[in-house]
Amino acid sequence: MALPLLLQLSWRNLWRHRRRNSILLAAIAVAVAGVVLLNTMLRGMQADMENSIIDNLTGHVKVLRPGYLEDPSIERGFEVAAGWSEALPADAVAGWAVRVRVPAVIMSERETRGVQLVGVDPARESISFLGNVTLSGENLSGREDRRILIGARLAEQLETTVGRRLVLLTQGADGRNREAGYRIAGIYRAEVGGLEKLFVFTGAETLQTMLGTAAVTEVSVRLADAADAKANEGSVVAGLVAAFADLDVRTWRQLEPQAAQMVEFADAAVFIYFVVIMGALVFGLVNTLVTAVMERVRELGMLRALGMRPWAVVAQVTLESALVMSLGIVLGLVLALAVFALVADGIDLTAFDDSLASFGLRPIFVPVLRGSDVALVVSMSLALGLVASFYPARRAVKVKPLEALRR
Amino acid sequence: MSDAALPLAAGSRSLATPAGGVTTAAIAWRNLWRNKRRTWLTAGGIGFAGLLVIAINSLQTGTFEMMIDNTARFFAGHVQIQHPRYETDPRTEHAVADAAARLAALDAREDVDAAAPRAQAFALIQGVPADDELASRAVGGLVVGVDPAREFAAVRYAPATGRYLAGPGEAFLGAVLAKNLGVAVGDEVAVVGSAAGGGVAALAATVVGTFRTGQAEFDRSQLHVRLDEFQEAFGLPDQVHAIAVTLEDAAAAQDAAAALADGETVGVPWQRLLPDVHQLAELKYQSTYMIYALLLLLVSFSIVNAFLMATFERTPEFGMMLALGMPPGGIMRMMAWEALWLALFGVALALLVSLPLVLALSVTGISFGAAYAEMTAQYMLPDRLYPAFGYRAAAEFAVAVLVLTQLAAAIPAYRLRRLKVVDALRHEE
Repeated sequence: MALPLLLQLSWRNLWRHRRRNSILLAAIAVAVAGVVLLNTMLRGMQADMENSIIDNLTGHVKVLRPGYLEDPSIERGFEVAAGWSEALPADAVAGWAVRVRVPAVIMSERETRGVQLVGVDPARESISFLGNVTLSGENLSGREDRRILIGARLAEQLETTVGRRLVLLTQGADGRNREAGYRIAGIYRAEVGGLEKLFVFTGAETLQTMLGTAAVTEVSVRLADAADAKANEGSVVAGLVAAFADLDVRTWRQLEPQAAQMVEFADAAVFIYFVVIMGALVFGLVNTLVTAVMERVRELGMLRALGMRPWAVVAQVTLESALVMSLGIVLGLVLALAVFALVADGIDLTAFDDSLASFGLRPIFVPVLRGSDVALVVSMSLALGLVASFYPARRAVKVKPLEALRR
Repeated sequence: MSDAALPLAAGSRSLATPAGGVTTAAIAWRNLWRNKRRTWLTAGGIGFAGLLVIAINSLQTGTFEMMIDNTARFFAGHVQIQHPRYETDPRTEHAVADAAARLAALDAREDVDAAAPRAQAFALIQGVPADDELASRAVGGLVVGVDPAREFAAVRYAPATGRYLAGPGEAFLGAVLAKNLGVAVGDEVAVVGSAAGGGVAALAATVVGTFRTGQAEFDRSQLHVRLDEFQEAFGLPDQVHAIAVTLEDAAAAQDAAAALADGETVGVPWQRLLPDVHQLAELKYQSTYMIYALLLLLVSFSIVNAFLMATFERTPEFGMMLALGMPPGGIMRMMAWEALWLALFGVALALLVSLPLVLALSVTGISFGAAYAEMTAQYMLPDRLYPAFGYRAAAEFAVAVLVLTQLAAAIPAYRLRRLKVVDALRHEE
């Protein structure tokens, strides 16, 4: 029996029970749209987590002196030779920054807090969250700026404001305590509020002078957005290893292993969502397909009596399942895209700010639609449609022509 | 087929009939089993969705209950008694007075497990290593005055070196902080901070031990000294910044917080002490409601379809019943009963599978492997997770299914009202 004819038979069968099949279609569409949308949430979270870690002065790859992570002090610093950045493959890098970062105590007339004091070249910090903050007051003018930038939440705790002076106390390269007064150039607001309490910025040269050193504590590199991020990372790591022979070159996954694990976990969760949602769909799908077969027992018996082959009966039922599944998938994708368009600009989760911040997540959540996820859901759904037609098809084959006709 | 039941059904206007006491309910149950495959598949769908809802919720409930309790017992407590302004503005002078009397009152309460008074301030800590070769260093840290006899904080049970506080003039600090200060057991530390009222607070103590909890926040920044010495140095006679209280039942924290407040103090429950933990739990619960809704929607579709198919097949039978004088309402009532039985059967299936499963796992625990254990340790969870049966989710699911099946059955049943007896009897498949 020719395939086009079978296809036509299956297609027409679908239209014999419009109400029932449209409910089935709606169910498939909702399930497919649900899985696709849940995946966009998951991918959004994954991307957000990754970006936040990288923005949080980590970058994709970092160069550190061995031992700095356990004991972050200027004694674990290193000197950077001029022209080191030539070792980086230019097209793989979005930017880099050289920083001096030490723990410090910050004091206003009223309060004392512990912070990370970071000496930066403000022009290079477009690669971190600092490039994306809202400032009141002024930004630092350069590496030799003698003023500081502090976060809004820290400013509240210290009860201070732009233009006032704060005292910073930290340990110099010789191990002795250094204390210096700094005027506040500006107060920043970061998307992740927790950072505001943690980081105080000043010019890199200013901090080096205070610490009595020419050393830095870290080189951070941000990779260019690219389809092949892994290859870029490899070439950047290789370049940095060559340029900084005795130092540790670490990727963000090595620096933040727990967060990296959570990002990886999202890859597995795509499958979990599919099994959960589609599992609930399968019962209704099989139910409807079996009923469609049982209603046609006489008809199938007649067809068999007239010489239709068992495989053709199986093909007819399987095609029917594949057709209804395909239609449902198309509808589901349309539904998913429509909903996605509504939320693509972001969902406000400000109510969960503290918790999100402890995961390094931003309060405005932006879902991410990935073609590969959609393709995966579509192909797995089609496969599921075929598997679901197995039992109904077996029932259809079991129909004995004589018995069926006698009914 | 239920040929015998048909005339009975036709005559049964109310639940009880004179004919052998067979009720609409009983007939509906029999009708359900006329198509065994369909009933099993539809109820199976309900059962599967119910199993998922209960399993997900049980895992979440178990995880979060444990995480909340562990985090609270780690340091903060389930409730803290504080000065009314300390929560928003943690200054040294915002302290609770008459600490000793308040502690005595807390000890008398039955719902209180432990009560630990604490005074704390951010200060500069200077290490004075005995060995002159080592450079002395100063680091900012949180100095906490504690009562060693009352303290429940986990740090006391996690000494990396030495021992916990006992006598006067002793200090117990985080292992990372000790390393950064360049001090070890036997060395001196000096604390310089701002006293209440604005003077300089100074304190010297001998390191008797260090702790390592794995929580960077504690290991890197906390130094514990005796409360009485802290109070003297910081000018806080009989005053504390918090009395951290652990309760027998963490779920009662909000009520307890309200009960423990008086005119001069407030009770701050863990939901506010640990906002990130609280919000994480809420965020997870709320985001899984989306999945529950999706599952219920899919189950409803399959129930509507099952009833649609059933009414289609049984149209001649319904015509017969109408012809014999049964009012359309009677048929609808029977469909409602069928929907009820189906829902109960589906929910029973869900409970039958999930109850033993969850209860068994709540004893044995679930292990997710070494990589996961590393991740969970950060959130104060053991490497095995113990689910707690989500009774509330199970009840909510059951109610939702009962309502949805009634609605689903009503849609095809409603169409029957317009059914013409003659057409129905002539109806062919």
